[in-house]
Amino acid sequence: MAQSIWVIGQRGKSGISRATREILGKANGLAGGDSSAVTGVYCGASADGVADEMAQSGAGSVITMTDPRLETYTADFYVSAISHLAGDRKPDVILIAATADGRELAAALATSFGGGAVQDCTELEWDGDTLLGTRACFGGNRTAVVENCSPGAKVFSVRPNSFPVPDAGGGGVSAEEVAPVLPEGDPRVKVLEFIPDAGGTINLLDADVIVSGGRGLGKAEGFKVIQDLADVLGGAVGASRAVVDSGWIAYPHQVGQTGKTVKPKLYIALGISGAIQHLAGMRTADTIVAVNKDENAPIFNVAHYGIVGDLFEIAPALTAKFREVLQG
Amino acid sequence: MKAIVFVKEVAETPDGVSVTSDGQLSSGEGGAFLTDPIDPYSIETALQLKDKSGGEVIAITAGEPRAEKILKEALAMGADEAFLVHDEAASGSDPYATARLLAGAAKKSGDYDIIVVGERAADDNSYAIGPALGQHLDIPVLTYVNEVREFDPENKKIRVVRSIDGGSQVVEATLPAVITVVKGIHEPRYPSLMGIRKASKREVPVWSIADIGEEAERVGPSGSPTRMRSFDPPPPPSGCEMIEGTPEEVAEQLVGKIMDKKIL
Repeated sequence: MAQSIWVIGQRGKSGISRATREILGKANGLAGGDSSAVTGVYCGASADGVADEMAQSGAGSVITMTDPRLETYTADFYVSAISHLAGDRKPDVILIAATADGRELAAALATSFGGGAVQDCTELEWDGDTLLGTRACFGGNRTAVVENCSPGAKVFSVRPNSFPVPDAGGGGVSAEEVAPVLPEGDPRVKVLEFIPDAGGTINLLDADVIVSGGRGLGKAEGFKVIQDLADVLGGAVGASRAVVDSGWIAYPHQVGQTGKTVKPKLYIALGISGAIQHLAGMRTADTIVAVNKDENAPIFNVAHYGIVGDLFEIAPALTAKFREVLQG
Repeated sequence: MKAIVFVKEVAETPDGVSVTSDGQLSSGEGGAFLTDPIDPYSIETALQLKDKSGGEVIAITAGEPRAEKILKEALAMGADEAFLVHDEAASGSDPYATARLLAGAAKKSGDYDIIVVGERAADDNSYAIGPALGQHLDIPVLTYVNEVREFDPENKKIRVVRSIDGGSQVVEATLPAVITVVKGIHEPRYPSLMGIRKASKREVPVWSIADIGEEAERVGPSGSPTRMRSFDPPPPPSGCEMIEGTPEEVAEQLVGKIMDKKIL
């Protein structure tokens, strides 16, 4: 019998998050297409539409736990609800999107089972009956394949953009509603406020096109040529860690092992040498274009198209040409 | 006020690092070791809490005897005490077994108000220690903290700003609590010459697993739930097509290729 796989659902801007859908699709693949082995589990204040959305991405069944205290994620309540449910139902594998909260939940949940989570996986595969997770260590300088030997459910967190979003299909699953078991008394953690990142346009995770800048920009003002090219392509602006650390642009723009892993159709890297830690976050792009002064820059090792030259000449030329072609 | 900071020694490069038959990282002997680059931020955070509220900062690591060096660095920055958890049986612990060791050390060091640790370690990158400590010690955990807004050990309350996907979250919790910090929370101070000289003369007490109430089978390889099967450099590069010419020529060629392949 196929091993039972749970996918913990997280909400995105509209409905179930893209990362959750990617993982549901992957879980379905790991189950050999037997969707009865894949269960979507959702905690929240309400679960309207959740069952259908999770089923459309590959879940054969959906369990929802709703309570006003589950409106915003807190480890105390989510670990309590999910660990009690897992104690009853005994899933073999639990997959969670490796967002900030998702990684915290994965580690806490796995510890509550007496084991540990394999974090930040970019690939999952069976070796016989054993699920292995592939993940980056040492800032992307090493890739480890990790086995989870925990007692009970094996928890893995999965980096967003590691797998394609599955085509929507199926659906029509009605959720099983379960009353969550939550700690009594006052909550130890209270979420008071959420302040979205300035400039709601930093949508790196969902962008089809990303134009990124690195140290080759010389100074913060250099980002203007990046922004111009991104604007004409309708894309988002990314950055290397070096320029984020230098304060030229805010952290939410950072692509790489310690920033975001992105999977756009087109990634244009300008003035980025290609430190391993950056490559770890963007080699997943479908097509990569690199522009750099140094013909030996490691970025050219992962690029599909490379241009050696001055980005302050190349970028405006690309902007002009794309404008001409795209806007007639 | 008592703050505990957990620090970690990491190999400077992964070149000498291998995986044991038990699936744990082994740093070998010859390589250079450093304080994890996130740790000065944790230490600075704890020192600033002490600057405001008084009390003491205790630095602890679990590792090999050579890790005494990074504890002396913490003392030089201003930590009041330092302890090393070392035991043959604990050698080769994954992050979850390490969290057991650190939880035991926290309990042994007595009543604490706060535990400060980095969001993740630079070598294994596991984002595990903070949340695992919260479970073992049954106290709240606030991860990815980029600002401590309020710290009130008297009334057992802390308010922080977390850096999470899409924005910042302001969260309040009861003390004692664990916080995991991100780089940039504070600029770490440099140790003073006097601090370095004093620290070099300090003895660092060593705690065995018996001292912290742990058992051999719960730590080290046998107590480690995650095991590496392999540990290799990332996959080799793909071929790159170089485009040459004047800026206008390369723009024309590249845009042509991208439009032809319907990438957009």
